[in-house]
Formats: sequence, C-alpha cells, structure tokens
Amino acid sequence: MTYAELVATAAVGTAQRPVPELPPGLVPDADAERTPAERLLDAAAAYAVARRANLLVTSSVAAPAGSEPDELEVPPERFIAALARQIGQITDEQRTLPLSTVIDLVVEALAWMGQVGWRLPERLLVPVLQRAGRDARIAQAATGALGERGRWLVALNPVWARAFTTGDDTAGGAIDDSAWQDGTPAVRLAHLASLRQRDPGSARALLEQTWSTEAVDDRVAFIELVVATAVSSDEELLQRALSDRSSRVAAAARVGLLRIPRSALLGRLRERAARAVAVQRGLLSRTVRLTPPDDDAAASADGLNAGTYSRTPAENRLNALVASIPPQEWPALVGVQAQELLRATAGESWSVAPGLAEAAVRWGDRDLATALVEAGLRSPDLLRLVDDHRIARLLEDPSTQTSAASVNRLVAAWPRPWPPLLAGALGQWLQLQLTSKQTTAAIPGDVIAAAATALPVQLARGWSHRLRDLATDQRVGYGLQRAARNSAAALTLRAAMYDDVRAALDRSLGGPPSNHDYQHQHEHEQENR
Amino acid sequence: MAERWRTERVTALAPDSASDVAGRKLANPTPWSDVGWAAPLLWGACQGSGKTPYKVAVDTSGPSYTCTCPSRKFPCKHVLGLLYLWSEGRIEAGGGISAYAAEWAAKRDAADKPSEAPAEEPKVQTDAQREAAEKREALRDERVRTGMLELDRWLADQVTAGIAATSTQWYAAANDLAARMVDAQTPGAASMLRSAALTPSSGRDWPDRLVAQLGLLHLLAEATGHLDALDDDLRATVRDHLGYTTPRADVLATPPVTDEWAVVGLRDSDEEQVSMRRVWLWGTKTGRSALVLLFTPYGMPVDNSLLPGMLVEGDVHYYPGRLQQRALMGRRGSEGKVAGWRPAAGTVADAAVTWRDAVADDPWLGELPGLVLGTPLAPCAGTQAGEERPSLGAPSAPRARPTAGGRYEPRLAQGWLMADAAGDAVPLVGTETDLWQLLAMTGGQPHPVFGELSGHGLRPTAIVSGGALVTL
Repeated sequence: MTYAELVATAAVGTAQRPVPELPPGLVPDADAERTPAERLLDAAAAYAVARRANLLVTSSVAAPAGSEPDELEVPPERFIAALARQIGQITDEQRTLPLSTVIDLVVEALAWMGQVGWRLPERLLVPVLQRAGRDARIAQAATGALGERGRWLVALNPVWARAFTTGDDTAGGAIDDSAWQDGTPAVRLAHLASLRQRDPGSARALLEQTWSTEAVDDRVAFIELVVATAVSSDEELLQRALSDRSSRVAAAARVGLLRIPRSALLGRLRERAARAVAVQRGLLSRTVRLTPPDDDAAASADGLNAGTYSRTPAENRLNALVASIPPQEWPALVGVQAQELLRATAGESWSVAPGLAEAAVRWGDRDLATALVEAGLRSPDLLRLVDDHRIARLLEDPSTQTSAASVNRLVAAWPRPWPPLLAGALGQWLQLQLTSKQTTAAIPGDVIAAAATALPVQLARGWSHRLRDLATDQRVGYGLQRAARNSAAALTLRAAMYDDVRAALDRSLGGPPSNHDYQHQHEHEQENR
Repeated sequence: MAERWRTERVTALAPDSASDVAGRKLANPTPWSDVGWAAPLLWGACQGSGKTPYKVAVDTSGPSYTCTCPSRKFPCKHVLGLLYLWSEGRIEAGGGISAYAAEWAAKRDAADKPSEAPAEEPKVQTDAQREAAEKREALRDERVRTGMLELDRWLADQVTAGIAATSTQWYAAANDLAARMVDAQTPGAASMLRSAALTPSSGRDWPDRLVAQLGLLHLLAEATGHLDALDDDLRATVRDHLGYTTPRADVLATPPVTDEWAVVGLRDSDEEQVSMRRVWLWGTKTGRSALVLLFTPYGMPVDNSLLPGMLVEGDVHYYPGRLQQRALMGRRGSEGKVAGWRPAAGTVADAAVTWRDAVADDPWLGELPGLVLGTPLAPCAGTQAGEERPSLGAPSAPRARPTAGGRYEPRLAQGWLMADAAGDAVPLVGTETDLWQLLAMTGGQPHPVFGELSGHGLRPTAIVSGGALVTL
C-alpha cells in the first residue's frame, strides 16, 4: 500500500473501500481484531512519522560562484544605524515622518555613499534592493553604493536586475512598427520619440498615416512631442494640426509654429505686432502706444482670440499677440525693448504683462523675466529665470513679508536642493518672522515642510533650531507646528548623517577648502547676522 | 562591559507600536541634556512640555529602567528615545553619572541583595496536601484518558465515513471536539485538532496533509492509552504533547547545564490569550541546544531578556522528555556578544540524521535547532545560464535519499536550497526577505547557518561570520 492509496481510502471511507494490505513491519503490533478504521489510522500514524522524519536531501547540487570580495568600505556604524532606521520607516505605517520625506532622506544618504565610495553593509542590501525594485529614485541613488555583494545579488534577482538596468532599450534597436500599431499609448509615444530622434521624416510620415483616427489625448501627446523639438520641416504638419477639431491640439500646434523662426504664422504675427505698436519720439523721451489687433477671421485663425489674459477681447488679443513674439525681436520690429511695452500700460487698468510673461518663459528671456518679477509678477516659471540675488532681495520686500502665499510662490520656483544663497535669505526671513512680535501668519506651511529635504544640508542644523522654536510658538496653528516639528526632525537627522559623511565628501571633492566648508561658514554667518 | 545594543533590540523592548513611534521621535539630540553612559548605566534628561525635564536612567544589563514622567507605559517613550540614541552611537561613553541615575542604581543594588537567595524552591507540602494533589492528578489522568479515547473514536468515525464526505462540517466538528479536549484537560490535543480543522481549506493535496495529522492524533491517543507501559522519558514526552505542565521549581531543581549560551533564534506567535516567544539557545562550549518558551498575557510587553545575538553565561535546566530540548534559564551570569566563535557545524546529511533521530524520539516534534555548514542558493530563476546548478523540478535533478519507509514519492524541492561541500542540499524555508537576507550575509560562500529544522527543511535564523553571530 502506498501513502496515496491510504489517503484515497481515508477520503472515501473504510465503509466504502477496504483498507489495502499494509506493508509488513509498518505497524509493529498489528492486531487482527482491529477495525478497518483503526488499521488505517495505525498506518497513517506510521506513514506520518516516517514522512516527517525524512528531511528531503537533494544530491549533486553545485553552488554557483559567490560574490567577489568587496574593496569599498562601509560607512561608520552611526551612519548605518540612521540609514537603517529611515529604510525601515519606508514600510512602517506608523512612520514618524511623511513617506516622501523619508524617501528623500534615503536617496540623499545613498547618493552621498556613492559619491564618497562607501558601500551598503550586507544587512542593508536586501531592504534597499527591495525598495529599489519599486522606486526608481532609490535604484538610481543606490547604484553607486551596491558594492560587489550588492551587484552580485542584483544579478540573481530578476526584479532587482530590471530596476538597475539603465538605458533606453529601444534606442539603437531595429524599428518595429508593431509597437506603433499595437502598443499602449506610452509605448507608442516612446516609439515615436525614438523614431523621431533617428529619422524625423519617417516619424512624421508614420504620424500622418494614422492622424485622423487617433484619439484626442493621443493627438495632443504626439503633437506635443513634435512641438518640443519643432523644426522647419514640421511646419506643414503643425499647420494642419492648427485647424484640428480639438482646441488642445490646435493650441499645442500653435506653440510649435511659434518656435519655428520662419513659419508663416510667426511671419503674420510679426506684421500684426509691427502695426500694434507705435513709438512717438520726443526730444528727451519716447512714447509707446499699443493698439489691439483687429478682430477679423485671420486673428482667430492665428489663435489671437484663444487666450484669457485680460477682461476685454481686445486686450486679450493684444496679450496673445505679445505672447507670440520672441522678446528679442521687438527692437528690430518696432525699435523698443520688450520691457518698454510693459511700461506703455503703466497707469492703465489693464496690462500686457501676462502676454510678456508667457513670451519670457517660452523663449527663456531672463531680462524680461526679471523686469516682470520686479513689476510684481510671481509665477514659478518666471521666477525660475531670475537671478538668485534678485530673488533673495524679494524676500526683503515688505509686500512678500505679509503674505504666506507670495513667499510660497517664490520658493516653489526654486530648484532642489535650494540654492544656498536663497536658502540663506529665506532663513533670515524666517528668523525675522520668529523674532517679530507681530503675527507669524506669513510663514507658509508648504515652505516649512519642503525645507525638510530641499534645504541644503549644510544649513540643516541652524534651521532645525529655528523650526523647533516655530513648533512651540503659540502664535501659529497646529498644522504649521506639526510641519515645523517634522522638518526639524528631518533636518536634525540630515545634519547628523552629514557630520558622518562630510570629511569623506570633502576628500572626494579634492580636499578643503571645499564648497561644503564655504557653505557651512555661510550658515554661521547667516546665524550671526 | 555591556555592549551597545542594536536598534532592533530597542524596538523589541517597546510595549506597543505607539510607544515605539513616540520613542523614535525622541531619538534626536535636541530635547536631551545631561546624557551619558558608563556601562551598564545610561542616563539623560528629556525636555518635555513642562518646565522640568524628565530624568531617565537605564541599566542596559537588565535591562531595567526608570523615568520621572507620569506615563503608565513601561518602558516609556523617554526610555525608548534614550535607548535609540544610545544604540545609534549618538551617546558616547563618559560623563559624570547624574545624581538621579546614581541614586536609582544604588537603590536597585540594595533591593537586589535579599533576592540573591534561591528564588524558587519546591514548596514543602503537608501529607493532606500531598494526598489532595495526588487525587487531583489521578482525576486529571482519568479525564485525559477518557478524552483521548473519545478523540480516537471520533477519528475512527471520520475515516470510516470518509474525510471527503465530512469535510464540509469538518471545521465546526473538529473545533467542537477541540473544546471538549480542553474540558478533558488535554490542551495539547486540542491545539493539534484546531490546526487540523483548518486543513481542508488549506489548498491542494489537503487530504494528504489531513491524513497525516489524523495519524499523529491517533498515535497520541494510542500512547495515552499505554502511558503506564512507556519509559519515563517517552511518558514525559507524551504528557508534554498532551499539555501537562511541569512545575518550574521541579525543572529548576534538575542538574543544570552551564555554558555560555548564544541566542541563535527567536520566533513570536500568538496562542489563545497569550503571546509565545520561542528562543533557541546554543551552548558555545557544550554544543547543546535548548528551547526557552516565554509566555506573556496577550497585549502585555513580551519578555526581552533573551534576544538574538546575545551571549549569556548561565545555567540551563531541561524539562523531562526524550529530546531534552525545552528548558528554563536558571542562574544568569555575564552577558556579551559572540566573538571568535567557530561552532562545529555539520553537513546536510548530519542534519538529516539529527532530524530523523529526533522524530524517532518524539514523533510529534515540531522543529529542532540545527547547525549546518552550507551555502544558500537562490531559486534557479535568478541563476546565470551555463551554471552547473541543476534545474530543480526537472525529472533528473533532485532525488530523494532512501529512507526507512522508502515507498512514497519524493517531494520535489522548490526554490531555495542550502548546499554543503559534498553537494547535498536541504530546502530552505522562510520568507523571501529572510532568505535573500541570508544570501546577502553569506555572499554565496559557505557559513555555519543556524536554523529550525523541520520536515519542510531548514528555516535559517542566524549565521556565524568572522566569529560573530549575525542574526537575520
């Protein structure tokens, strides 16, 4: 009787099926008077014990090559403990900091390790690799800190291997139009981008083949791809898209045509612009007069009626026109700088500033952007074009000190990590708020929360003290107190970890005096002031 | 000198997750002042919302702790925060011991002195008490015999009618009988029944597993019916599985095994009304293993006196039984970390023999500590083409060794293995995370690996690397 036969008998029951003959010796004290059920249970017991006792051993197994020895050093134990705690917090539902902050901290620490040539200790490899399998930022940051052991592990695990694979798989490969025919929207877009990079003509032809049958979201995505790198040979395609039934497609196509210096659209708009601006020259000054374009069919076709810059249609058309002209072309067109157009409406109830702001951002014109910011415009895109020193001065502007929203808008435009100059100015501003006997309503919670990871680490310690003060300031609400507490904790941790890595970072940057030292000094200067 | 703890040990000390979170929030230097460490004493003052900072002191060798805060949690978040700071190396040794900590330590020393006398000695009973106890014992024996007889009849009824036919009512019927087994004072049999109650809903091949469980229950019932005919050790083994308890004092009265015991594994589980912590000890000098079970009422902080990686000098007293595995820790001496250890690790074949012999001694055995010198191997999916490793599951690859029974089909190993120098491999069981962690720690090189041996394979718990014990 095999065990399978025994189980089959137990399944249907000894009342239905006789107990098979038991192997001799399986049940030592087999008693002829025992009932079939008892005999089956006796055999089940014997089999169960024998099966349990048999630890399955596989023979002739050859172990593959192990990991090569690691030459990189591991970080100091204190750094490892702090990193381990943060990695543990990623999956901890009761984490003490927001998840995005924790991930930022881990990414920063891993990047430092890669920079100074430290590797992850063995006990942290698996937690980091598991997170890297789900988070591309962690994978990217961890790449330099894997060491031999980590790379060896990654090669053994397909999920981790995918996470650490770099490069565009489609680049350099054969063009396969099946991706275009059958792919998901993302795959089709990637295919079009790849083809456009290699053979723009074929990419246009491919797009035109299916253009009329594409869904609106796909048409927008495809045309935006073309617009991002528009050249003169794209004009015909963009011109057709300008009359697309979707206003989103038409608006995107219009932007593309504006980026082609010799496009017919831009030519027509230049002519209108020359007519819209009149300059009267006096002995000591000149006067600029603006006349909105006529509301004709051509104006609509060229997109001048599509914007929502101002209250009246005429002012709208004028702003749309101003937004369409590259700012550096104004002197050649009408003999004045773009900034002078701004002054032309000073004292009026309307302005061409919105249109000029759009133009400044579209063509990356820093001078015009600076003029607009000084005139009071604060869009993040515009602020990104402005020199850090000017932004720092804005924090001293009384108008920004009274509005949390204005400071928020200002800071939202900064790159991450915040430039040290701006972070220093913001720190001073914050200190001023905290020592002020007046309200602290101007302190924006978003900025305080962002400081946790956006602040340059060299300034972290000083800020953590300020934020602790803020966290216990009775004049501010609970939300701001909480944001301050969290950011203070994150900054304390960053500062402590930076202490451990700082010397090695300095060495990796070529020895002192380093940028880090300079920034550290800057921090003290700021605090002393 | 007391070693600095790892953060995992601090986490294990927290009475609940809320306290742990609060403790971690306090694990930054800002609110702390007057901190210091002079082994084993750790102290600090934590500025809370009030004017006066809370004073905290911890004896890390105990551990024992005190704090002036009003929290009812024990340890409180301030103790945990201080321990986290210390475990992360942010409190250096040195500094003058704070007056509060010194006073507390002195009081503790004074209070500890009277307790140096033997704590637990068998109580002296009067004749009447002894007679009453014997009566109670006889009554319980009778209840157990009757209960196990009922169980065996019920098992026979199930296989007579067929387990396929009764499977729909199986869960309720098995649980009902388990409740009657509790009434019959056989909690061990009740626990096995409750486990079997879940088998029909456990997926493919459940009849295969259920028949084995019924066989083991039947074996226990048969053994109960012949208790008087068994030798002392086997009787003790059967009584243990039935759920009889042996008084602590009786165990502590047995001759001790003195050694420096390494804590090589720990597993927590929740039983009815209690949390159970299984702690595996391994004698670094004698090579003996011991299982210490620590029970805690559900929801209460668990006993953290033995944590993985610790090395404790002391006496272990074994419970009676054939295997001599379950034990109590009696006298405890110094604590430290394992260093320079070269345990005598065996081969896979040795482990198979050890397990086979253990099951022969105790057929109901759940698991046994094992120590194998081997190399963990990840599943084939992750290996490179061209490597020599056989494809597991392929017809020609794994073959089971001849066994005593030798008549049933081999269970094909899947996934993870641990191979020794002879090319023999045993399945590794455990979570994916633990097994990848094992691979990361060993780097694919042979290491002494501790774990729980069972019929399913080896569940790794720790390795020895560079003479140190590294827990997973």
